[in-house]
Formats: sequence, C-alpha cells, structure tokens
Amino acid sequence: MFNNYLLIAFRNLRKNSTYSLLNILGLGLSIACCIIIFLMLQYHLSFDAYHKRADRTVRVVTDVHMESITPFRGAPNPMSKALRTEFSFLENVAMYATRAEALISVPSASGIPDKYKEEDKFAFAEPELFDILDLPLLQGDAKALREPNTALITENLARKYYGTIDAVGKTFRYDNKVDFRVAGILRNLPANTDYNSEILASWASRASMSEYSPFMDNWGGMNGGTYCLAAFREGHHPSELEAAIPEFRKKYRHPESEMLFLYKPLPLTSIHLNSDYNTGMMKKSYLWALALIGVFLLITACVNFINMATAQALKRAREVGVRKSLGSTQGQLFWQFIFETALIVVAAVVIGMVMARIFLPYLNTWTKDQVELTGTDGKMLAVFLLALSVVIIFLAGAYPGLVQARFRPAVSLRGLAETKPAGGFSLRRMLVTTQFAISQILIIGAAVVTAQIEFARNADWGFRPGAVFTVPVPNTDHMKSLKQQIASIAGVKNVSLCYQPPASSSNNQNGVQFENRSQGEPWAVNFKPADADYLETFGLQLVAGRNVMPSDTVREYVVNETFVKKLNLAGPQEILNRSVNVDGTKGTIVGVVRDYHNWELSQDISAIAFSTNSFAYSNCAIELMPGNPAPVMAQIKQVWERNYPDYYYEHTFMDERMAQFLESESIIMNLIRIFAGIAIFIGCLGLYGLASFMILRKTKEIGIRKTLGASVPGILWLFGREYVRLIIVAAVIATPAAWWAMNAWLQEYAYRTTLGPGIFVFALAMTFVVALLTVGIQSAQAALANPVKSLNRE
Amino acid sequence: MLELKNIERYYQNGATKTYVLRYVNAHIAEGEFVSIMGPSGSGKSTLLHILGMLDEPTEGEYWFLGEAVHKFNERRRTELYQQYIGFVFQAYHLIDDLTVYENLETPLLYKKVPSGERKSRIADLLDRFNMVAKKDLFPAQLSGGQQQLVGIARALIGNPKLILADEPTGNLQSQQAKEIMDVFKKLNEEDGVTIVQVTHSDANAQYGKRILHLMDGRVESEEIVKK
Ligand SMILES: Nc1ncnc2c1ncn2[C@@H]1O[C@H](COP(=O)(O)OP(=O)(O)OP(=O)(O)O)[C@@H](O)[C@H]1O
Ligand SMILES: [Mg+2]
Repeated sequence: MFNNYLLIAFRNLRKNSTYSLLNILGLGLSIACCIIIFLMLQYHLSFDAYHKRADRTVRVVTDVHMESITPFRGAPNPMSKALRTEFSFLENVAMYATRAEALISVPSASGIPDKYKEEDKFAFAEPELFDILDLPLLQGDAKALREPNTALITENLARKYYGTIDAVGKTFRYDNKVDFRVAGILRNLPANTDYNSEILASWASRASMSEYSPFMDNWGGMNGGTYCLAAFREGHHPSELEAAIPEFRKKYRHPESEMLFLYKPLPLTSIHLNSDYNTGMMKKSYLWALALIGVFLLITACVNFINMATAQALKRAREVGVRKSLGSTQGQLFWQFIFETALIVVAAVVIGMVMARIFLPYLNTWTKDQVELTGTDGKMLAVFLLALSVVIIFLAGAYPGLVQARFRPAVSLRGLAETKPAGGFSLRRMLVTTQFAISQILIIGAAVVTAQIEFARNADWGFRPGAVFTVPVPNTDHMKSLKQQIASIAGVKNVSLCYQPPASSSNNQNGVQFENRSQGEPWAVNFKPADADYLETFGLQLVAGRNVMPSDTVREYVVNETFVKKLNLAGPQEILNRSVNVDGTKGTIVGVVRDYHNWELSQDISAIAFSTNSFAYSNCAIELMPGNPAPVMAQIKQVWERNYPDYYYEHTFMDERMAQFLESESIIMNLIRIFAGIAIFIGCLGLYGLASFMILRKTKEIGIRKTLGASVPGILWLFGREYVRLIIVAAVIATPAAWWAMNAWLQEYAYRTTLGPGIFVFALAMTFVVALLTVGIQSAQAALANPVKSLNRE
Repeated sequence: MLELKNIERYYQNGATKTYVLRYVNAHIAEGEFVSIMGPSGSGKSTLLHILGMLDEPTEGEYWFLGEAVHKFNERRRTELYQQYIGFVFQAYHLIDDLTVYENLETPLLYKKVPSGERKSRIADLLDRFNMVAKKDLFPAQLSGGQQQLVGIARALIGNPKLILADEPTGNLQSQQAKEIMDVFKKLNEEDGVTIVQVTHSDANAQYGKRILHLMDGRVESEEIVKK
C-alpha cells in the first residue's frame, strides 16, 4: 500500500514540479530559520543553568537610587565579606571582578617575554567561587587562590601560553606589574556562561595591588565588572536576603554619603537575558521577537502547504472518490495524505538541517555567539524537530486528510467539494489573509527597527565624535611626558589625559553631597576624571562658568546640565562656586557643560562631574588637525612606544567607539530584519504558487470571457478585486497589532524614533507591491493571452 | 440481495428542493442481471451510486443482504462495499497518477490480497481485456474506450458478488461492447454474480433479465426481458 502512496506522492510532485520545489525549498528555508532561532533561544536560555547549584545561586546587583532607579550590575568590593559574616543561610559568597584588556607577559626561552593582550579573559576571584559555580580543575587546587599572586588558567590558555597543559608552577606577569604563579588548570569553559574569564587570579592579589587596595573596603562606589555571587544553603530562599537587606544597608555603607545603593539578589540563571544587569547583547525582548518570527515563519510555510493542498483539492477530491469506490476506508485516505505530506516535510527538514549547518558558522562569527547545531543539549533539537515535523505534517495534511476524506464519494466525484462555498469566508481566503497580515506585521516591525537604528546612528551625541581618538595610558609614570611629546607633534590640535571618553561603557557611579546639606543626594553622579584639556579636545560646550584649572588632584568640578537639574537649581549660574563632595572628595563647581549622551541612547543622560585627578587617568585623547592623519598617527605611535616599550599600542577613534556602542544592538536588529525578510519572501513564494495555480485553472474562464467581449482591465479586476479585499482585511488586523508591539518595543529606548502613520502606509503599500509581483504579473499575462490558445489548453 | 424502500434523493438549493429520485422501490435478488434505462438526467447514475453506497439517500431504506445500510456508519459501509461490490463509472474515473497496472492493483491492495495473487489476477485480466501492452501507460495516454476497459477490469478484479456498471460500454465500439456484455453474462450465469447496469442501448439491455425504466426520478415501469 505504501508503495502505491509513494508513487502517487512522487508523481504528484513531479507533475507540479516548480510549485512543489518552491514549496519544499520555502519550507526548508523556514525550517532552517526555525532551527537557528530555536538553537539561539536554547543557547541564550541555557546560560549558567548548568551549574549544580544554579537554582540556589544569586548575583547581588545594585540599584542606584536617584529620582529614578538606575540598575547597576556590580556590587562594592567588600560585599562578599560582609554577607559572609552576616548571613548564615548563605552557603558561600564570592567576589568575581573582571578586568578588560589585560596584558599578559609570559617568560620565554629567548628572554624577551611573549605578550598577549586578553580582551576579556582576566578576572580576580575569591576561592569560594569554586563552591558556587561548576569550575572543574584538571590539575592543581582551587584552594591555592587563598594566597596572593596565584592564578588558575584554562587548558586553552595553558596551551597558548606554555604549549602544554602541564603548566602548574609556571608564571606570567599581569599588566607589567604583578607576577602570578599558575596554581591549577581549569577545564575549558562552556560557551553558555557569563562568567567566562579564563584567568582567575586570586582576590588576595587584588587586595595587595596599589590601585585597588584603597578601595577594597569602600562601600561608596563600585565597578561594573565586579560581581558578587552567593549560593544559598539548601532550603533557603533569596527572599530571606531581600528581607534582611535594609538592616544590612544601614550597617554597611559609605561613612560620608547616604548614597542609596539598593542591593538585590538576582537568580543566576535570570541574569543573562536581563539587559539591565547584563552587558550581553541578547535581551528578552529580542528573544521574544525571534521566537515570534519563528512562529510566523512556520505559519507562513504551513499556509503555503495548505494552499497547495486546497488548490489541488478538485483533483484530489476525485481521487478520494475513486479510491473509496475501490474499497479504501476513510482512515486509509487520511494516512495517505498524511504520508504524502510527511514525505515533503521530511525532505524539507533535511534541507533545513543542511541550510542551518551552512548558515550557523556565519551567524556565530557575526553575533560572536557559539551556537552549535547540536544545541546545548542535542536531544532537545531532535525533539523540537520531531515536534515541528509532526505539527507541520498534521497542519498541512489535515485539510485533505480530514476534510476531503470525509466527503461522500458521489459528491467528490462530481467535484462539488471544491466549488461549494464554505461559508462567506472560505478557508483559502482566511489563509491568504493570515499571510498578508503576517507580512504586514513583519514589514512594519522591520521598518520600525530600521527607523530606530537610523535614529540612533544619526543621533546628536552632543559632542564631536569625529577626528578624536584615544590611546591607552598603561601607567601614570610617563603620562605627562607622553602628553607633552604628543602635543608637540605637528598636526595634533589637542591632547587630553582622562579616565574615559565622554561616552563610554566603563563608568563610575558615585555618591554626591551638595554643599552643607546634611544628607547625600538620592542619586549617583557619573564621575569622569580628566585634565583641563578635556572639554576642548572632545568639543564639549560650556554653558556657564569656566573650565577647571590644571591640577593633579580634585579641586574644581565641571558638571553637566542634568546635574544642575537634579539639584533642583534654577539655572546653571546658580551652581557656580558652590561646593560639592563626590565620593568623599570635596571641590568647587566652576562650570557647567551642555548635556550630551554619556551612555547608549537607550538610557537617560546621567548627572556628570568632571575633575582633574591624574591618579585615575587611563587614556590619552588626541584631536588631529584637518589633513592627512597617517603621518601624524605614525609619529604618535613612535612617541607612545618610546614611552611604553613594554605595552601594546592601540588607538580607537571616537566614531568607532560610537559604532561599537551601537553595534551589538544593530547585529540583533539586523538578524531580526533578515529573518523577517525571509518570512516575507516565503510568503511571496506561496502566494506566487497559489496565484499560478488559480490562474491556470481560470485560463479557460478567461478565454471564454474574452470571446464574450470582456476587456483586459475587466479581467484583471476579476482577480485583483479579491486580493485587494483580502489585503485590506489583513491591514485592519495587522496595523493595530504591529502598532501595539512596536510601540511597546520602542519604550525600551529613552531616545526613540516616533511611530508615524508613514510606516503603516509604507507597509500597506509594500503588501500591494508584493501582491502585484506575485499575483498581478501572472494575471496580466493570462488576461493578455490569445483566447483561442487558452481555450485549447484545457 | 438488495432492497430499496421509498428511496428519495434531493438537492437543497436555497429554499427549493430538487428531487432527483422519488419513492424508488426495488428488489434485486442474488444472481439477477438488471438493466436500468431512462432519459438523460432521470437519475440513473444517482440510483446506481446509492446502490453502490457511494451516495446516501436523503430518505428511505436500503437493505443489503438483510442488513440496514442506511443505518450503517462509514466504516461498516466500506467493509460491506469492499467485500461485495465492484463499480464501473460512467466517466471511467481512473487515478491519473497511476499506470494501468497500478490502477488495477489498487483495489487489491485495499483488500490486502497477497502480492503473488495480485500479480496473477492482474495478468489474467490484462490478458482477457487485451491490454497487456498498455499496462505501463497512464490513463491520459489511453483512448476513451481503453480507459473504459480499464475501469471495467478494475471493477472485476476483486471478484465482486455485485457489479454496478454505469454505461459500461458507452464509449466502446459495438464489437468490443458485445465482448464486454458477454463477459458480464458469463459472470452472471457461471459465477452467479449479481449485475446492475445502466444503459442507453436496447441491445445491451437484452443481456439482462429485467429492465427498470426510470423517468424523472421515479421507476416508471418494469419489464421482463423475453428470451
Ligand atoms: N449536486 C447536484 N445538485 C443539483 N442537482 C444535481 C446534482 N447532482 C446531480 N443533479 C441532478 O440530478 C439529476 C440526475 O442526475 P444523474 O447523473 O443521476 O442522471 P443520469 O440519469 O445518470 O443522466 P445521464 O444519462 O446523462 O448520465 C440531473 O438532473 C442532475 O442535474
Ligand atoms: Mg448518468
């Protein structure tokens, strides 16, 4: 029997080969996208879920309380010690502080050490971390991290640095300052963890380093990359910690300021997708968008399938009738149709797997993820694919299998099953409307996303990002001479030593106390140490007062307009010559700069204070004169390398930095746009095929109508009328849905494009274009054809 | 063998009912050879479809071997159908995507006949209908008459006890038609197969023992064929 079905299925496919191929490829493509989306979802949802104690581990994050609350992903340095002594329901607490751009020097046989710049592989960690996260060791002992100047490194790095994994006892130097002894080798880390530093240096060494030691017990400020992880004892719950935190805060705080730091335990597994507390680019809203597009892709592909089935219904109805008259049961017919669909779906799944395999590596390099075809758990993909196939098979096979198989043979033999109108709105109309509605939603979505990307790209950051670039200042010893030497190069306009450029992802949040107010302000200030040339170099405009006087320590402050507003002062003049205490350091406010964007555009502008503080400088910003930059930059490099022979030279243009700021977002948004485009494309394929089928069937009617004197426009309208109606019904459904969804999405952005009617009109117009391309051209061909020819074709 | 009591079949068209069959009563005994005649549109095919359980009467009772077909569900009907009936369509109704051989094989597959027996039965029939050379062709590659022959062969292949044939020789040339009628006659006389045929030809009707004359959906008269 199956042979018989198989034959029918194959011959059917062959007969409608173009249409079948379009359908199978379309389905394959959408399955490929679904596989990729599924794997991405699985990957991002699995972050840090593999740790044994994941379900009772939290990260303590900090909400910095201002008029509004600013979430901050880190915690102050002394947090773990305090939690450990206070709360017995905590099994283990550990600090984990990442350091970006670590310079690792490994002694070599030649005497000149090998140097490696590790972008984001270095962290200081307390030994308790090993009793919280699953970090298996291949060699050595995690307890060694109790000692200063010890570190654990992964197999990968051991191979890279020492050419062997037997590296226990070997040494390296960090940032040309501190020597570490390798005390153990970590098994390579999985891709789905946010705690992915491959060098774990002992916390004790951090405490002994001069730039950190003063802050190890400081409750008044924190660094974004410094995390506090805590595992609860079995049977205890984060709510216990939450309840205890108000008391805890009273006891542990910065003596001079009542800066409101609200500590909050967040479940370890929830952090990856929490864009407030995670630096990764994946947000929950994006995952939702991807999942939704995946569902849309599936619906579209299924609709194509059902349409193919209904388009063939007349012919299939006859077959159903005949087969029943040959003794087939309803059940056998059902399974025949299911089998036939299954064949196509299995072919499409195979094609989809192959496509997914081909696309994934590109996707990974692009998103910098490590999504693998096997998934984080290979079984899940298999289950997903099986479920997916079954759903598609039954959705697509159900119409002929259930509806047609039920008709009485005498009815189906007369072909009445097809011509009978099934209510006012037939199944096919409903499906085509669904498809149009999905297309419109996706077009609107993609258009809004594009508008927002463009909006962000062209946004006024409030300062000049162009011809300014930064070079690192590895240590403060030579920085003054470096600045002087660079400034004396012809072609250099301005040079400034600073902690970070005006807009940066590295930020300090500090407490602030104004004048003699007894209490600190309930908001934090973004403190930017920089020398007196900073404003000039970055083109920040003073709206009141003057710039700071050159100095090596904090004496005078320049603040931004937001700072003034937050103090509720009448205007920038009001604040001049008044004193302020930022993170325990007093100074006089001498100037106010115009507001500019100091974070990503998705966030509000913070209160900012600039002040001289040469101890904190880590960058040298250089503005070039107009002209050819290459020779000037070559000289700057020479000068820099003369001053810092042990370090890596690197320069970053401000507009690159801006671009990086936007990059991660735009990657995901582009991904969403691509998937949406594919979904629209697959919808087009289906409409095209359906239209060609319908027109073929109507060829005779067209021929007869023409011989009866119908005009070409009249005939076109015959087809067009139907589609215009469906598109309008679809627009009525799609427009409010899309408006609601995209409006909700835009709310995440403090600075966002507006949703004008233009986008919706555009989407509607695009849908008409789609219909015109898929249906119109074919109808026109049919309408223009010689009537005798079309009659003969029957 | 089968009995129709007050069979009615109408089509609802808006508020109006169009009757195709009205008060049809008939009794056909096992081993009979009955012809149904009547003008075009008088309801012959409809009646045959009802006899073949391919259509349901809107009113009335249909008894088959003492069982109430009108009360059966789809499944029971299929069982009964598979066991007893072979149907020849006026419009042939071959499966376009299957070859002659495969078309003949399909009913045997539904009856779960083992493959060896299938082969021999098909070979036998192809031989009998002179179609051996055509066995791998598709219906579209056959003439109308050839298609009709395949349709007849397909109805006979399951060795049915009851053959329902809707103008089986409509498209055949008279010599071929005669051969087919001889086959029917032989089946009827030697194997005791009950045959009900719809025909426009008096000559064909003479092969049967009884003729039902249909007119506007009613059995107008019954005629016994005199030999
Ligand atoms: N779906 C339907 N709706 C309305 N009327 C129908 C339908 N199907 C058949 N009829 C009508 O039923 C009547 C009988 O049809 P049937 O096919 O039984 O005629 P027939 O006697 O076999 O004619 P012919 O000799 O031309 O084959 C016809 O008048 C036809 O128009
Ligand atoms: Mg008829």
